[in-house]
Amino acid sequence: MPSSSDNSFIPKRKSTNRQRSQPGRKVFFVTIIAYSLIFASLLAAGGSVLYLNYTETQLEREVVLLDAAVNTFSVEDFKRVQDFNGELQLASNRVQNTVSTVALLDELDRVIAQPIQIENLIIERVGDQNLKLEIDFTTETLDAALFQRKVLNADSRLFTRVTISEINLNSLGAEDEVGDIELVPAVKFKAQFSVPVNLATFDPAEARRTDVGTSLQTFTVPPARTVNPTVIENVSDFDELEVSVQAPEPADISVDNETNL
Amino acid sequence: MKPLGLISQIAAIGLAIAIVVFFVLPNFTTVGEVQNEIEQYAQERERVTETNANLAALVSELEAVSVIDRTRLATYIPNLLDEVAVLRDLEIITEIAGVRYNDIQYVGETVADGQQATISNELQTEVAHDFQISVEGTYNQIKDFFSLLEQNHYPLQTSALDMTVREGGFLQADATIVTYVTNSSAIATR
Repeated sequence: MPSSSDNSFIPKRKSTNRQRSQPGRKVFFVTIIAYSLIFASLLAAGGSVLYLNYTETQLEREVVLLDAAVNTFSVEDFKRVQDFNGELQLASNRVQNTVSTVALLDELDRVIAQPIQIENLIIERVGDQNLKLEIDFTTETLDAALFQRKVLNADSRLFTRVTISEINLNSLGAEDEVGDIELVPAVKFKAQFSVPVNLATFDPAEARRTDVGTSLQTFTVPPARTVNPTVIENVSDFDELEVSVQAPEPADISVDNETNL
Repeated sequence: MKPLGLISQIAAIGLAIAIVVFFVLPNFTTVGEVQNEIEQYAQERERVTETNANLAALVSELEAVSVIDRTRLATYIPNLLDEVAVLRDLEIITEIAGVRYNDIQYVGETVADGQQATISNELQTEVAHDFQISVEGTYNQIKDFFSLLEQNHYPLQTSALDMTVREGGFLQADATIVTYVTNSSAIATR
């Protein structure tokens, strides 16, 4: 007997599973990617703007800090330090290049042989490099002159490259024991050499304080009074000063000592 | 989510790329430049701070120099030359050394030659002033005279010396004595 459902005039649908079409799903993935890209780019744009603002703020802060640091720099202090440093350098340079004439004379005392006399001594300083010395010697024998040349060249710490020139043999008149004048031979010669300044610099520790008179035990040369430059307050004062401070003629300021010691 | 059409998808991707290329990347470039500037400013600030610290240390060192030492320095190389005081000092020195002076006079300012120019620094220059002195005395007295010149509180350096023998065991020394100041703009008078 057929079932009642088979008798129905309504057409029956087969129970086969219909599969959905795949192309629609592919379009959806691309859409997600497109949406993602556009959102990401917008986020990146927003982030970059924020970060740019942040860095610009940081830059402004750095500029302000730099300005503050620059403003704390004191030009006056810098000038003071610079001036003081300059003065110190000048003073140091002077101290290091101070030549001791006494050291030169002491060295001459040491190296000049006994029978030889100095008639004339000329010392001339050439900048801060050398001292040129020119000495006129006189002695009785040529042997003494030769010996002196050897001593000057070999035994002196200061004197080097000694040149002996203008050797003259003369006869000079000299009083004997009775009082008669007799002629004695005389050899005159000139020695020229230079001394490096750095070898003859002044050493305070070796200053000849004790050699000088007894008053030197407490001697101090009064320092020169330095004129206070602050008295010049404006340019007009300066002009006035220049007029009034012209160096007087040497005759006006020379100190001639009329009295003998 | 509503699926986009093909053209819309391409447009969206293109827009995203355009945003990145024309906005995000330039922004990052600008950020990089700003960061470089920040670094430079920071370095400069560090240098300025360091310089300020060094200056403060130097000022502190300067303040620590006693007034006596500053006075000594100002005496050693003054700004202005008091020629009368120098002449007076030379006279006192001759008296103490026991030599007889024939003549003491101020010659004037020495024009700096090449060698003297080398000893001047860029900020301050030293100017030499010459004094001519002629003294007579025994050898030891003249040595004492030069010894006292060397021990003076300000430089009295012998730049030229001509020593000759006189009668009676005396010597005559004609010397050019040089003293220095830092500025030659004016010579003081009292």
